[in-house]
Amino acid sequence: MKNYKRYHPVTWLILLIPIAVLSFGIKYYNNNRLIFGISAMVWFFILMDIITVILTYAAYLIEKKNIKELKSKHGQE
Amino acid sequence: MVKSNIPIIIIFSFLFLVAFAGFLSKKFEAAKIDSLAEWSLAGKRFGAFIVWFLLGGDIYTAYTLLAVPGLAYNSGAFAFFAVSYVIMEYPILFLTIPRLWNVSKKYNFITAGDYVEKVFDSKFLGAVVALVGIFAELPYIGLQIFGMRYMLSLSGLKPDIAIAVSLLIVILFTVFSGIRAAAVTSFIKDFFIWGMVLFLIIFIPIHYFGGFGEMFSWINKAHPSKSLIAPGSMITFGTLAFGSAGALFLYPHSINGAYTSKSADAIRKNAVFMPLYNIMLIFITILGFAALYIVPGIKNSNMAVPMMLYKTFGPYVTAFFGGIIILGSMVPASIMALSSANLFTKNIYQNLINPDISDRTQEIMSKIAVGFIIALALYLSIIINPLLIIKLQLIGGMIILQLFPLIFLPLFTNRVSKIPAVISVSGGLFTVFYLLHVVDWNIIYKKIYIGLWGILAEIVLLLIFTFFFRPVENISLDDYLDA
Repeated sequence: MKNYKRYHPVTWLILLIPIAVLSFGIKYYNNNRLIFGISAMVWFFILMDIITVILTYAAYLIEKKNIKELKSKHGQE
Repeated sequence: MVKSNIPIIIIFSFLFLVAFAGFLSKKFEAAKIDSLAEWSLAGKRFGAFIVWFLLGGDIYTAYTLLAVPGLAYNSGAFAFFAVSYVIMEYPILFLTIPRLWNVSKKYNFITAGDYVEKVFDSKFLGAVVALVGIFAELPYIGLQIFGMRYMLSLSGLKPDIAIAVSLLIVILFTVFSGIRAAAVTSFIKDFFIWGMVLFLIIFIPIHYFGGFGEMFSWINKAHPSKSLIAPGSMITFGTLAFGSAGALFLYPHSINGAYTSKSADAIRKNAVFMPLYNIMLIFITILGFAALYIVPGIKNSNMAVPMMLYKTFGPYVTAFFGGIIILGSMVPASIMALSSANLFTKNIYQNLINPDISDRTQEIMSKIAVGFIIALALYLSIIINPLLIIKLQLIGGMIILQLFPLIFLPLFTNRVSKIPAVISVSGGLFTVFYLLHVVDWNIIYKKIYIGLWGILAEIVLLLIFTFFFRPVENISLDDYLDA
């Protein structure tokens, strides 16, 4: 029954990636070098926005499947 | 600054456009019944598309449009903490709010206070959530009023008159149409704000620097210390961003916006696509760097963007942009006032004063409270100086974060029961206020955002006390799952 309430572990993992990278990776993205005329840090944030969309979408698909499975398992109990 | 009436006409045209849309919105996705849930949550019938605009209207406020580039102007790359935290907040939205929505739908909750009251079977804790929420929202509304004031100061119009008219329109359309007014006006707001930002981010670098590369090269050369986060500020940057991300969806206006959704799935879809909205915030931040070149030496950095617009385009176009920014403050002010009013009605008045209040009276009470809350925020913005109200808003963010064990934790575990929750939240709030006092009301202690020190205290207290008490069973675990 407890599992019924849980998110899939992969959901947790992929959703924590942007939070961890943004919180703890500052010294790696704190960079003002110009790439195609734009600061590396600005590129990084644009990229993180897009990566977050992709990761959250992946989590969305996983959870859609997960909810279905948990529901059918719950129905059998 | 200008004597012509044209800027005034432009600004008032915006105000009347909003008023017109706001009043007309009563028919939008309308139901035939009048109730608090219909008025303030549109009966929880909005699809993912509308909620995207509504949350955008909630999160990207007029003050954001001025304060974030203002911070970039003043403190350089540190301003990107705002970009960072808004990206982080969407995974948090995905993990938490759909569960809260599911349980709120099942039990017809209107506020987060209703949920907390049910989970812990405690009217007192519901009232705590309401009081903290209202305290946190008031300076937030005050900042929207400052946003209006900054823009209007360049229009030649007496800011107080225009602000009073704007807020009167906000009160009237909110009372008349409820959350539907904010939803419809947020479409208009987003159309204009996206247009404005996209235009400026292309025009300003080309016009003044010859291109993006030249602009960033100039920033690196002229302000090398501002083009990077100072090594000593990295921990502060990370903790401030993380703490602010944790706080955002504990604010009543954010929860209210998400509650309007017709399903938990619509909220998840928003968590997926909202980061796209955030690209606008990156552009806005860059404009703050450009302002360093265009209007150097401004003392009030919140005026950097208005002054840059004025210098670049003159009074008429600035008035047009000013109208857009004022519009951008009216939408969040409406949702913030509405959500605070609901907290007052449901979790303070009904819980503590008159439990037998009818649904119709609740709605009337909330409508009166909307007017009162906006008037109070206006009064505060007049008697308190901007720096203090900014500080109050930051403190509001820290204390709202301390509601985490009451609102977010029970979504994942039933181990947190009433007494440990009370001890934990009290400990968190005490820690926040004690550290604020120690550092003379700064927001950082030992380089770490004070809100997170409060959370640390809460976690320690929960670990100590939780296992002495029985798990709560007021809400079934199944209720958190999609129907």
